[in-house]
Amino acid sequence: MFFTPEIVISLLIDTLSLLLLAIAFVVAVRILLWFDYGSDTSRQYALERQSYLASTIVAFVLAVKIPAIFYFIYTLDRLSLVIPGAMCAAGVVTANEYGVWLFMLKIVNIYLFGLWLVLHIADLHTSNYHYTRAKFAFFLLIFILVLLEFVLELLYFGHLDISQVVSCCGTLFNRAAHSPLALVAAIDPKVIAGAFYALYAALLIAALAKKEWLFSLLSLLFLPAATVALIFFFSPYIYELPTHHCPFCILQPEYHYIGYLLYALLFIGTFLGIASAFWPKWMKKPLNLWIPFGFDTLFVGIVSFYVLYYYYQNHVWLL
Amino acid sequence: MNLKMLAFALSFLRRRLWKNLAVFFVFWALIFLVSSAFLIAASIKKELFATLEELPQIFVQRTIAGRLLPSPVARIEKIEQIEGVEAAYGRVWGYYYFPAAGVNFSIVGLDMDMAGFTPWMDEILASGKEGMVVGEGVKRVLLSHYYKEYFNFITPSGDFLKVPLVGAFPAHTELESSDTILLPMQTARKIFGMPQDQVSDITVRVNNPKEIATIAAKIRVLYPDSRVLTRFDINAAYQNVFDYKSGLFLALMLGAFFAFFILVFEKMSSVGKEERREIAILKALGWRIGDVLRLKFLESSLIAIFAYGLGVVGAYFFVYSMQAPLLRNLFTGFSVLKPRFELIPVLDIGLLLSIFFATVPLYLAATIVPTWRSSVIDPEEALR
Repeated sequence: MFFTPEIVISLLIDTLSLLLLAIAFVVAVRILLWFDYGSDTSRQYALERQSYLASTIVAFVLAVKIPAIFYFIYTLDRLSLVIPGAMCAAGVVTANEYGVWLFMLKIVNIYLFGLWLVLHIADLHTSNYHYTRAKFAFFLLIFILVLLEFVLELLYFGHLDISQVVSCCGTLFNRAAHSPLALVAAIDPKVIAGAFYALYAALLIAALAKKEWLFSLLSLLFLPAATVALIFFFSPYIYELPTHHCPFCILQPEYHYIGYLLYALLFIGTFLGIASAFWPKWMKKPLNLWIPFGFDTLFVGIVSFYVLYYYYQNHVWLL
Repeated sequence: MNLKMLAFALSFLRRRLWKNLAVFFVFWALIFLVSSAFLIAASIKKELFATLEELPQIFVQRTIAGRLLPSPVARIEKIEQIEGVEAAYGRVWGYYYFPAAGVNFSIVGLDMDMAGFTPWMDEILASGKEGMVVGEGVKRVLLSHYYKEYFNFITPSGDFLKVPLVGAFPAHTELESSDTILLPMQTARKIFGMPQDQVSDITVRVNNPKEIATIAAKIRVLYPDSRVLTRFDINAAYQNVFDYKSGLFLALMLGAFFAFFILVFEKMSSVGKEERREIAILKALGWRIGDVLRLKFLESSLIAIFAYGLGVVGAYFFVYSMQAPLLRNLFTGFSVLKPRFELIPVLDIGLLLSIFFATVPLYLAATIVPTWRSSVIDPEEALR
């Protein structure tokens, strides 16, 4: 365990969230056990009021967790100054076996929280609390995952050894390395880029055809595809270095913190895309598919700009 | 959320001015304290990193049984033969205890043939005077013991060695140089009783910074009894020390955070009769639970935003205009030769974010349950 202010703050935020969610958890269990819209007991009345508390808590925790994940990335990036060998957050995440899982779980949890909120809004629009039991059942799953995230975070920071040498992103995303991503790395980056743009075109078609389910599914695929394309195709153009593949170095000041913008666009675009399928049809304002598509387009536009700009400057392609 | 809601929330806050001011003040104080500590640590770190840039790339020290020992001069030449090394220098330095004041001076011997340290140093060398140049702190201590023009060192053999004082160096980076005495290498050898064929340690200059790690590894192989430190090691070590200090400070503050949480929770839970009536009237007028929650949350957010803004501004004023009395001792430590340095202003977005995340979610979290409690008031009961 190592005290840096960033680690203490990250743990503080997550402890707070967990404590609040524990209250919501108790409410959720009670609602699942006894909630019955048809009954007119005082317990039912109390439960309806308590469901407001639970949903306020979840909305608050989500509002905290979204900036907190960027803060978590910032924490990892800061730690790379301390941990020998690490030159960006990539080395810090892989410093022990918990890091990668923690990171992925954090992202998954935010998407789940967001979906929960969509369900909650849908519930408020029904006249008979139609989705209340469903949303609290869903919340139980989220709570378990958040609990797991908290345990992983404690394990991760607890096992973070600041004197142990870790790998730099140069080795982690190297094609020759035996990293979990080596399988993906073996694919020709041109194919990856092609698949990425093809997926983007498919999103456009789905948006034109107003097929929400297809758009949602494609958005779900777009997230990993964009990450992989960013690592293996676009990042060399952003770094202007053919050997530099890293999804974390773009968060650093040398690249004008462009990564924070890119990931924000990607997360918002894919989240709204995924949520579009769950957006209830009879709500006053159906989700316009062009909104998530707009975010996706901004993301694609920025990363493509780097490629074209590099070509414009140097008249060569890097890969 | 619209502006009318904001104005309404403000009027709500004004109606219970003293209760809200009390919470505001405590929250402000908490933010102020955390910000001040973070700013001091960041400033000191900035100052240290500024001086680190001028350090040699590699230090080679000889150890036996874990203790530092002087290195033989012959090693300098050997190290210089490694590919990529531009030059290696032997240094003679150490500590001299001055019992009358109970302090240690850092004595650094300089090779007087080697010019080009800094302009002020060259100036003193050009004047041709042999003697010592001291830091501000040393000068203060010497003056208070009536050594105005010279100082008598006592060598290991018990003789006096009278060294004239020829100047004091400017104090822009006082943190590192306040306790330092610079004098010719031969004089330093006499003070320490160190033979001619030995140096305290060796510094290495490398042309290409990317080769530093490799060259350090080669030196380790060449002299297994040596401790080889690179500038990066020192950089990371400093980062560690100050991260640890501010992290520990924050961890100690957790108790205060907890107390604050309870305080806000209690304050917010004690909804007065007047306030209950107001909420009940709103609900009777058709406000839903969600609307009351929004209003109450807006109130808390207003307090949080103002407290955060004013707390950070206050901390900047306290740290940089007043130079953080009392609190800075926590980070600089205490000694007689304590440097009188100015804290350099730091504006770092990451730092401001850290302060924000350490305090604002805590406050808002503490208000959720009481806010909900007041929003579910039954209008019929409350108005009766």
